[in-house]
Amino acid sequence: MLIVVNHIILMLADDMACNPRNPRPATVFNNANQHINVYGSDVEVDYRGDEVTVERLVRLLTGRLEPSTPPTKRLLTDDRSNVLIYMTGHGGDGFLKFQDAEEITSTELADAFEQMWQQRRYNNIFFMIDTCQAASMYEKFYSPNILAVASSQVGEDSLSHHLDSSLGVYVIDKYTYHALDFMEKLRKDSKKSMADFLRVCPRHQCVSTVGVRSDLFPRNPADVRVTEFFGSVRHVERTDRLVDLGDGDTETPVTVGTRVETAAPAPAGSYRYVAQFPVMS
Amino acid sequence: MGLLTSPTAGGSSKKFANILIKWEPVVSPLLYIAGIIWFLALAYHPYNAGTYFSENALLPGLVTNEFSDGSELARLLKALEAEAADHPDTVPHPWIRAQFRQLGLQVYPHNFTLRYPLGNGSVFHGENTYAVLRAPRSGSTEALVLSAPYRRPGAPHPPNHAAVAMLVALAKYFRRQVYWAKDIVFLVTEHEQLGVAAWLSAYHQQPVGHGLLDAGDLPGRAGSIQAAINLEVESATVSHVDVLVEGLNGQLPNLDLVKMAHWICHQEHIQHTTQGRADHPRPHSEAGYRHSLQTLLHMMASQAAGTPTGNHGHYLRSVAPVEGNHGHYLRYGIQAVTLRALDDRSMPGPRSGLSHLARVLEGMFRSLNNLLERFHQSFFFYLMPATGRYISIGLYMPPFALVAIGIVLRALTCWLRLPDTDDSEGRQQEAEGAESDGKKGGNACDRPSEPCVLPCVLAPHALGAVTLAGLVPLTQLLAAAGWPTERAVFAGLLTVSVGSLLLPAITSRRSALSESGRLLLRCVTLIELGLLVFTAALFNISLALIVTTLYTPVALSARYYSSAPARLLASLCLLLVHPFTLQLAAVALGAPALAWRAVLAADQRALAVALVDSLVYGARLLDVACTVLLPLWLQMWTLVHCG
Amino acid sequence: MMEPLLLIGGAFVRLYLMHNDFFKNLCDGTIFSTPVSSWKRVTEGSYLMGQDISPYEGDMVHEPPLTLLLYNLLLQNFAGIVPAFFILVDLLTAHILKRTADKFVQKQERPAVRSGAAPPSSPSPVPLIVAAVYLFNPCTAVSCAALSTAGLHQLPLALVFYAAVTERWWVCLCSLSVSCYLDLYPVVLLAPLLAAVGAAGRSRLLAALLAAGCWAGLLLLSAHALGDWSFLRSTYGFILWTWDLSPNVGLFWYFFTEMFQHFESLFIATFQINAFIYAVPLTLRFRGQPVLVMFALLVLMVTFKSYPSVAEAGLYLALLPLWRPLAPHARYGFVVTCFYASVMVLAPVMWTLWIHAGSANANFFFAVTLAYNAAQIFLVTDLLFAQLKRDHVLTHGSAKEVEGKPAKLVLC
Repeated sequence: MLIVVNHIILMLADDMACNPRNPRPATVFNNANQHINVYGSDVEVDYRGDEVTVERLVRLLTGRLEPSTPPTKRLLTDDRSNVLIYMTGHGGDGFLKFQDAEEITSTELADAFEQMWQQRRYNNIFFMIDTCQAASMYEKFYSPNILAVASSQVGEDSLSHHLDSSLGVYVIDKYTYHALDFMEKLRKDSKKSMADFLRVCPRHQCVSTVGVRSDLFPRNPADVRVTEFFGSVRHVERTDRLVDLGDGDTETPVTVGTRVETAAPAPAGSYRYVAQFPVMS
Repeated sequence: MGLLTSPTAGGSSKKFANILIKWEPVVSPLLYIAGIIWFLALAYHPYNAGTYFSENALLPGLVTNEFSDGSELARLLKALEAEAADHPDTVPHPWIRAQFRQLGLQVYPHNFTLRYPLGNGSVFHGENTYAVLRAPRSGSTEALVLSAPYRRPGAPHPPNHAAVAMLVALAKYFRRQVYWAKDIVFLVTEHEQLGVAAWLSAYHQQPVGHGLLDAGDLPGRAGSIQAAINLEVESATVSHVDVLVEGLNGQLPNLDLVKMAHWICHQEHIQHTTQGRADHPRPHSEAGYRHSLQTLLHMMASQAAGTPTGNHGHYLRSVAPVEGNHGHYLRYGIQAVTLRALDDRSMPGPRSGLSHLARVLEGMFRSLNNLLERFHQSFFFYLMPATGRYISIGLYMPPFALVAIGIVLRALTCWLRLPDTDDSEGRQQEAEGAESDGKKGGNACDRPSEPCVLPCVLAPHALGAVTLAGLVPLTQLLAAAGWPTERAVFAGLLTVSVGSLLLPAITSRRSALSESGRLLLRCVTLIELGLLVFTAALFNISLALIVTTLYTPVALSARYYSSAPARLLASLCLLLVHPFTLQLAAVALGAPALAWRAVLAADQRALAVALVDSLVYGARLLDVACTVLLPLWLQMWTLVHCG
Repeated sequence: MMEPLLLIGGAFVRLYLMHNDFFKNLCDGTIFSTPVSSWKRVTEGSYLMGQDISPYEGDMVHEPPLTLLLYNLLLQNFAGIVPAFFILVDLLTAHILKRTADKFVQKQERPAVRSGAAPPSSPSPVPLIVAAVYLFNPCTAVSCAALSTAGLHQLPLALVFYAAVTERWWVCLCSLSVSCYLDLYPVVLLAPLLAAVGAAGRSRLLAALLAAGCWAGLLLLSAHALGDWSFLRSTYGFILWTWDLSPNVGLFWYFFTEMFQHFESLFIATFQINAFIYAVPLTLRFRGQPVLVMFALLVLMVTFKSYPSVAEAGLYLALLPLWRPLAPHARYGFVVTCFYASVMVLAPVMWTLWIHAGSANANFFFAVTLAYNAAQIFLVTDLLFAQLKRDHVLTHGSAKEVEGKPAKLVLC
């Protein structure tokens, strides 16, 4: 199953593929059998290394990035967008570590989602987190239309799946491994529902208990297809009605069907060119 | 800022002082005994802690070690032994360099010179060889070292050819791997510790040895050294690997590294020991406790020696000291251990081959390769009663403090008992005299009301400093008269020790000590002793604990006794803990089977070696013994004999 | 007779330390040379001046211009005698301190002798003790061996004390200006000095103007010599804003490495104010004893300044024997002595364990500096309290009874 690359914003420490310790340079595999190279030629890392900070993530979610940020590094969503957020790393009760230097707290994340909601930046959010005590990260959410799944309950560790003995490193987490396994078997026209996905990795596989929070989500997960979040299969509705596409945001208000002349407002002052390179302060 | 008269506060501090003075003589010995029992109890399995990995980046023992070229190892060992037999008087550097060069490593020589300061003063030359394997895909900013001393046939130590062959074989294997993130330096040294000390001195361009050791410069360098493993392999079959940790001046490597060495040996199913002793199968039993207590005491004995000699130290194994070259890395903040593989008949269990050992080293280097920072997580101050157990500084400090607290309490009561506390002027000044080891000159001798303790403090310290400074010229002087260095050092120290017994007679003739003067001298002596042992505990807990255990009872009882038998007994006790006697006792303990003549010879050698260690390597044991411990002892001697 | 012997001994100790590997290693530590007193930085500045670059351009040199010019002269022409220069200045300081003590003790004893309360005794040993403590104190000796310019800065300070005791107000105020020019903090000594000038019947205003004028003159001269005022930022600015947080024996470095940038200026101000704030209250409280106040302020200054070095502690420790008459009234003699003794041993030990051996960390060393500063505070409060008690005893007698019960004097 595939998601169009330029719809993914990937934030990574990105210190593994080209680490001098990697015996197979520029590759990262999902398991020790080296079956899938998850760092293949179609991977586009948008933020790497020191660029990945808590502040950058919150700005990305809430759309407050520096003006010079290129569109490919922005989250260009609106109130019709389904957003999938997947986070993994070392965490604890109520926080997830970023780059050994800082951490994002569950409250910060919940507030960021609320801002997104108020700015109408999403329709639904599906939030996945794979870390120790992962459930603590979604407990603070209070914005509507969020479905959340976590690899472990508060007080539980989230464990690795297996060791790569040629690397000397535990390579993949149990929950992610099984989630990936589930996804690999799906096709674009799959009819599997989110309820099926939420059943992935039961306790005998994961050792930890997968946590789900669906009280903010108005629909029944059994009615939602997995492809609504994964695979960017869009929901299209046909309509014959005239639609007013709003007047605030777009530069020229357009109504389909008839053309409306609007008088251009008199300029408040004289215009001038802005500096070509915005000065960052 | 003003004054109030408080009727309630009156005399409360006096009351406290009186209680202290009354109970201190009972409490101090009790605390002393409690401290010793507590400390000895720490060796019992439930009272100490298991070692664990604090540095997660090490990821130890997770890789499958793949070294398997045992035949190549055997071939190299055979070739090297043949080479060594052909050149019994030199190090086969050309052969070693050729091997490394064939592998495509950068190979460099390193020459150094030692101007031996004692006796007739000869000059020693030495040569090291080192080869650098550059990390293929990272900048040369960090490095690891694998070193082995080369030993000529006929050296006092067992030959180490297998370790050198192992270096070459591992270099060949490592060369083929792509995953190195740090440079790896393979170092073959000459002249045991001297070679390593000189190489490190040249590597860091940090002179050591008071200008006696000319380390020269290195033609090539790798990155900053993160960790080092020193290798000694005595035979081609291995019964067990001993992990040596004690470094110069009792410094220890980070516990993570030690744990890693033991852990990977365990994973490769090689028997591993600390202090040459394997773990007891039933640590909870009484026999198990005694076993780990003995292991602990062994470690303390070798750490107390303060020389990087691995198990037992010069003083206990003065016949054939075990060298542990890792000790010199520690002074540069490089964590290092020596792995000493030997085939001990008395050790039960299966034997392993060299390729087994090579896999242990492979595992260790792959773990070290994972390090992202210097070792800093785990403990630097610990004692080990078993291979997998440790007593951290937090555990051993409280019992140590109990053993030593009597010294401080007695100093306080001496102070409080000074007659007419409120009016003894000049107390301040004299006590301050002690704070700079009695260096501040001037005192209040001309005032008859005040005690005159300064000469009693200054003279011993001056004597100690002169003794230390005079030893080297003395050996040179006596060498002209045909005396060997060892005897000259021994004779010099013996003369000083015996001659200084007359010191109280000389100092007390100039100024007789009054009762309060003796109290003040006791106070000053006890404070200085307390400072010495608490400071030493930070560097070398083993030495500090041994000194404290021996000195606390005599320090507490050191005063003038009016009855002659009591005085005699006190003098005898003091003579038993004289630094010189202690040294002799340590040597005799290490060699119980030897005759007294041999013990004396061993003692002479040990003293000369200690002097060389102090001059060349910067071992501080002799310095401290001469300039602090001996003067303190003399002050106590004065106390006993100054009527 | 004793004094030349002491001086020769002091010079010998310094020479020995300068040529001993062990101490050479130790001296590299910033315990002995802070950024404002490091000789390495002075040589750097001298080199820059040789290249026609303003030494204050970078962040290397924080020595005031006039002394930098002096050192430059020394380095350009007589580089070989720099150690000798340092030793000589130290010996001179010791000599001045001895003369100060001579005079001070004479003044103390005179009223008692005149009134017949005490027989004219043999010469007091205090001056010799003062000189000996200065010469053989490890603090000053090692600082001198480390070529820390803080050692040189003690000369004008010692001169201030000497002139204050001998009541040569001109010399006193001028050397105070020099001292302020070098270090800024000694300005606190102006308060007790002005009080003393007033008590001697001279005009306080004139004295203040003299000190200020002298200081301004030095600044003008510096600006003239350099051609601009850029040095102010690198010297006084550097001292006040404490930009360099490399470890020293003071209280600033550890605290401000932990500080959020946002609050820095507030806390810098709070910390700096400590060095100055006690000047006026103490002067008012101990109006009769200007030298005692100067001493107390000196200790407080060393405690609270931004880059203290142990050389400064050497000066007040040397003057401590002057307050010998207060010793019977002091309560914490034992505690303070033990504190100082252990700090002097433990500071280098912790430094070695932290920096050289790598087995300890910053907290170990900071713990020792905390103990050191606590000892200084203890010393100063105990001394002032002892003075109050002594005054009380002299006026009310030594019997301490309230309503027939034994009582005790407590500080409030």
